[in-house]
Amino acid sequence: MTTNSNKVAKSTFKWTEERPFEALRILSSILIALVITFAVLCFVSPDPVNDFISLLIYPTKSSFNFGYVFVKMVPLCFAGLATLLYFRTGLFNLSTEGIFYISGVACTYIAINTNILTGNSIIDSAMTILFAAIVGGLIALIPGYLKGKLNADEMVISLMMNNILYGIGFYIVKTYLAVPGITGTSSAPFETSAKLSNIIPKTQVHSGILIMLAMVILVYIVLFKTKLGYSIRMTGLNKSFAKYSGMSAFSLFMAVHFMAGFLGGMGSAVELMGVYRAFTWSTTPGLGFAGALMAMLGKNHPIGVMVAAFGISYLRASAQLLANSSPVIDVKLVSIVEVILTLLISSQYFLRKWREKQLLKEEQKNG
Amino acid sequence: MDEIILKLENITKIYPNGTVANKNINIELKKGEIHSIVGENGAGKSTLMKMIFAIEKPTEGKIYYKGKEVHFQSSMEAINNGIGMVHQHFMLIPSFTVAQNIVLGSEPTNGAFIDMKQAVKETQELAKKYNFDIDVNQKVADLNVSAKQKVEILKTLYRDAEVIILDEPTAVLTPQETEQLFEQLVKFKEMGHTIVFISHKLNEVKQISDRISVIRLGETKGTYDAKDITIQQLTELIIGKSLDTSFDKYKTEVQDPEMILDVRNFNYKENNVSKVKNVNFSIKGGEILGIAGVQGNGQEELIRAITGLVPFQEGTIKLGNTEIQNLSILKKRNAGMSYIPEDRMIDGCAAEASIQDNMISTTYTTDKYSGKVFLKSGKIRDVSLKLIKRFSVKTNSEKEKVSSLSGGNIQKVVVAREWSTRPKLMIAEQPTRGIDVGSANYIHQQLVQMRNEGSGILLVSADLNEVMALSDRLLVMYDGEVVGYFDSLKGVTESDLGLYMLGVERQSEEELRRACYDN
Repeated sequence: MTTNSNKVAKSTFKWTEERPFEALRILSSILIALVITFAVLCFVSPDPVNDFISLLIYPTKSSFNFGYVFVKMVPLCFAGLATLLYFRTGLFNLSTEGIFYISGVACTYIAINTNILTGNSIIDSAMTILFAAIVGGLIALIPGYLKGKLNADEMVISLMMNNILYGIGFYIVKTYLAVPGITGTSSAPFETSAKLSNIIPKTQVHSGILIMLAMVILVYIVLFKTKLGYSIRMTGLNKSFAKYSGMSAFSLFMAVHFMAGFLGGMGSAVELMGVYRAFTWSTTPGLGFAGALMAMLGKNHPIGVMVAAFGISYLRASAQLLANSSPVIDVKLVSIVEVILTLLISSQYFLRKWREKQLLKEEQKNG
Repeated sequence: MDEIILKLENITKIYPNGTVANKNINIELKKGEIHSIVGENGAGKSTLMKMIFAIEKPTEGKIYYKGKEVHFQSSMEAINNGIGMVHQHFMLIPSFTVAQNIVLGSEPTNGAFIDMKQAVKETQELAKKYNFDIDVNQKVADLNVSAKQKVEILKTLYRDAEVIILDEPTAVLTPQETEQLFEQLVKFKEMGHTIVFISHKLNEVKQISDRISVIRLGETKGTYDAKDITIQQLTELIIGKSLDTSFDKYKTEVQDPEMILDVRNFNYKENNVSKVKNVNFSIKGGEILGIAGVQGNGQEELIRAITGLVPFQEGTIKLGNTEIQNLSILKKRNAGMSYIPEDRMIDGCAAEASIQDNMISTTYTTDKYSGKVFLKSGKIRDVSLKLIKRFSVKTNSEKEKVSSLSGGNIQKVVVAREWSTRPKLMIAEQPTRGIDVGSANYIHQQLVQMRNEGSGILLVSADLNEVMALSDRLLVMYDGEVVGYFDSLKGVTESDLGLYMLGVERQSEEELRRACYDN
């Protein structure tokens, strides 16, 4: 019996190699998700082909529509960046949802407070956003400490904390920030100087997208170019190895939680200051959980997260814009795509059999 | 009496990564015998048992059970056909009672519900039938190790196991508990059960077995009647004839060596069980101190506590002139310690990270590789390329994932990293386990060269050939204690060491004290 040596001949392009295979997996996942969406449309729509095509191309129909994709993408991308830091460290922490809410409340406190605001729009919006980010970072240290010192399960803690943060936030909004006489819960309107300005005419695109781009680059640099990022990656890949190499888990956990909370808080403030005129969230906005989705779809890579946020926002925006004119298209339709994509992309076994078969064939060919 | 119940014919197992775990294994188990399977670690015993129990499938060969060829698809099928296995690590649910654990998976039912009364009754009867003294209503969490083992055995009996495989059952037992277990095993035998007994402890094997099969390097080296073979002969069969691989001719003397490591009165307990007892030794620069012993006799705990992977408990450890026992892993490393861990995939590398990332995990905070915040990626790449070349790691690129390398090359990455800090003290734990001969030899040469350049090396290995070929001085550990010390290996044979390794002989305190340099 002879066994093959461990050498891999790197001559021709093969789908079975790691990166092409990953791309193939993602492409086929998208295809399957779209086919299923089409199938669902066939059941509910009198004109499924037309509806399906509109869903796919509607955002490209006008600059307003396309701009709307970018508006939707900003908070998703922030939440994705926050969550990918957790995932990269090997922590399944979902607290970004609650952080989004409580930081939103925090930034509202500044954004409606004329005693604090200066009237200069750059200073005011920076102050609002930074305050929300720091509040988010500090609050995220709570699960970080519990994990680092007591080895508490971060998923349970973060899910429970989401409820607590929502409860506290909603209480603050109701008691201190709400304006009487308005249906639903709403704070006083944000001061104009705190809000982010529109940067592309005839669209809703606001300067928050620039902050988002800066954060994508920053997270990329931190993750791949710094000592901190190195220890994040090694700890996430193999905790025992990190310990053996002499890295301290506790200080790392604290740093990661602060950064993730910071990004979450910042994303929340950017969303509110860019899109809303007052704080009107009477429930958590669901953006934090979407962050986990972005991190998974984007393979825990900041650029990947941005691409995933764009893709999902594209469909979400399309569905939302179409919902006004079409009776059968709804944002919920897009969640079918989201769920199927997550399922397929995150499942290790999807297409694995196929790859193994191909590899086996190659082996046999090579003897 | 001579009915063959289970027969393995020309079993070969090759793992997908090319490791040949078993080669042409032939073993016949008779009904109603106690049949031991002995061999070194990594000789292929576990793989063989996994194939009988259908956890792994053989690449070639046939398994006959009760005269018929069988292809069990799952361990469930093996269990249903009367094969039971007691794993080394117990598979019990601590919060369940003994009875619940025993019936788990084949509970007596009462309509749609589990009939707990019936379960308790059945298990009580079972325990009585086999003379097990155990309260079936007790929670498993409250039981001691030997009682847990009894539960495991009862589990197999409850499923009418005719062949019971015991994987290192005595490793966790005290001598008295072992005696008790043996009495029970003999009873099982009389009741017609076939016992497969896997163990390292040869005196126990000789005592309990009817027949003994020896496996070395994945091949059967014959089956012997226990009464016809001596422990001496068994040891030779297991270890094999020693190759002349001594590194003496490559070794050079180091002038005025400094004291590197000094361990005094070292004790370590785990769950109140003493794992390492009063160990003392020292190492100077320019020498390799080997620790021999059958695995599981405290070596692992000793090393993990010295290196800091588990919290230190009692004693003093000096590296040079500094006491390091309470320092963090990072500080120990900065003080000049390097460590090749026993399991390269668990502690030794991040398999999904690049070779380059794996090369710097212990040094990335130093000025050489990073500034205050940023990594110096150019420098990291250069050094990684140099290390890859110096240690001839077979790869296309420093960016390739470690998981794509073969075992030997992964180990070279680990050794290269640990070597790269030019450590005063190198702790090498099973440095060549499970890797090809070429890589192993290369790693041995590197260790000898480090020794020649003045490092002190602590070498722990279950591979007797390895410790004998490399060590200048040698300790033998048995049951958590140092039982033998040799200040030179000239004229020492494997069988001499074997007697210490198996706890048959033990040196006096005065002799053992020579392992420390008193300065």
